Amino acid sequence: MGRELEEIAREVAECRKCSLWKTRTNPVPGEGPQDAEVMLVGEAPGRSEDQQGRPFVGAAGKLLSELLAAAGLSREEVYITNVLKCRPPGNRDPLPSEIEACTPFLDRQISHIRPKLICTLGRFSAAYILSRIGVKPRAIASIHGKAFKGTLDYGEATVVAMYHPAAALYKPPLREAMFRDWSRLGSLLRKSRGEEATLESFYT
Amino acid sequence: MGSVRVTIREAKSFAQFTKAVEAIVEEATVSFKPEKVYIREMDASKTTMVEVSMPKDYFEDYEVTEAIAVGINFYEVSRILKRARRDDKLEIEVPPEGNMLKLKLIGVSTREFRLPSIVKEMSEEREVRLPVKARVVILSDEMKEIIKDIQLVGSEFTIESTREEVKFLSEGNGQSVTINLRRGDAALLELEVEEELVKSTYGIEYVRKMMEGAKLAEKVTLEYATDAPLILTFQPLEGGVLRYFLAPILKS
Repeated sequence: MGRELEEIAREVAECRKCSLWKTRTNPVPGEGPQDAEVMLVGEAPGRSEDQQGRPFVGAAGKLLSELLAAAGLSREEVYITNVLKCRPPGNRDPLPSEIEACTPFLDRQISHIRPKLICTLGRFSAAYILSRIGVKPRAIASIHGKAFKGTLDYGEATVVAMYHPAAALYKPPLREAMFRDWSRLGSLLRKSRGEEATLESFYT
Repeated sequence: MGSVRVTIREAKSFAQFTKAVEAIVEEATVSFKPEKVYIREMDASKTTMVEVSMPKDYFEDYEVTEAIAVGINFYEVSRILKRARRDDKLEIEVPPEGNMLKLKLIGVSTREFRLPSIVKEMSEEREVRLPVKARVVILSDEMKEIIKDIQLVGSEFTIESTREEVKFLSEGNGQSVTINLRRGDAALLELEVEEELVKSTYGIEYVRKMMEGAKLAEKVTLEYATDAPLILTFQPLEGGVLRYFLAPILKS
């Protein structure tokens, strides 16, 4: 982990900007390489994550690993974090005040890692990250799998809004759509690396 | 800078064009020219592109004093045009500043929606020259069925055309599907193939989205060459042309 990411993790552990620190077991700042090409941003730690201090380690994490594989990615090569770094009690939705208090950590993580591609997992993550690139937030059902180009403080980035993996645990029919979205993400990545043909490569 | 005011007799039919664009891109540059309205936009991954050309004749009234290109959010336009009622006319207006798009639904009442827009550089209209060695015209409804069959099995498909038949093949998870259309079959309207075998592979999900165009035209033209992009063209009877381009999946 880079020094800046370690510093952020330390600050997260000491953070008292909202009340979630009182009820959490462990903070979950995020993990992955500091030069990751792809960054995944979930919503907030759940029970397993809270216990282990690592993101996406429960049932949703298992599915996330399968989805990453569908995109030709492994967990080890992506940076995984959440909008909130501490578990909301009973896995309730994040409050606007908590998002406001916690997202400066996420912004710093993004600025340091400078990912080419940010995958948002779920509606809260999509709403926050898309607003950062000037895209009006809307229902995840209408934007899942779509890629949005935008500019962040370090340059151009592509944001792809994905369903939260946990959604498939509650609504199994979403699983198929999720695998389709992640498979297309793999294609998008291969194209950005010049490994797969784009339309431009055929222009005469 | 000139202003734009054009009227479409059936708002609902125009709405289908906007949905067909939105299937591929959320925002696109629309060029209003004295002779036509033109859109060409590529998706963020540079895998697909949509092109729409609507000649002046398509419109009931057409006033474009000077060419202007504006960036428009098609998601928002589609949402508004969903509110169009049967027999509503649509008037589109862009003021000289180009900073706003007015959509007026004119029927038993007149409803005016205003959307922000921004002035853009005119879309380059140079012809996209892609190799074409096979041209297949299929009933749009049949093409939709073919896509549904393929989706049962895999996420990509291969089109193989010979002078006598066209085959759609897909496989995945130990399953496979082959759909044959032979010369003389009711769903295969035209088949022109310049080589012994023309074969290329594409992502099915993209083609599924492109079939939004099927609501505009009864037949779809597929043009491609081996390991080259696929061009899907829909030509509605009311006028205008909708065309999609899709990069191939190279197997070698």
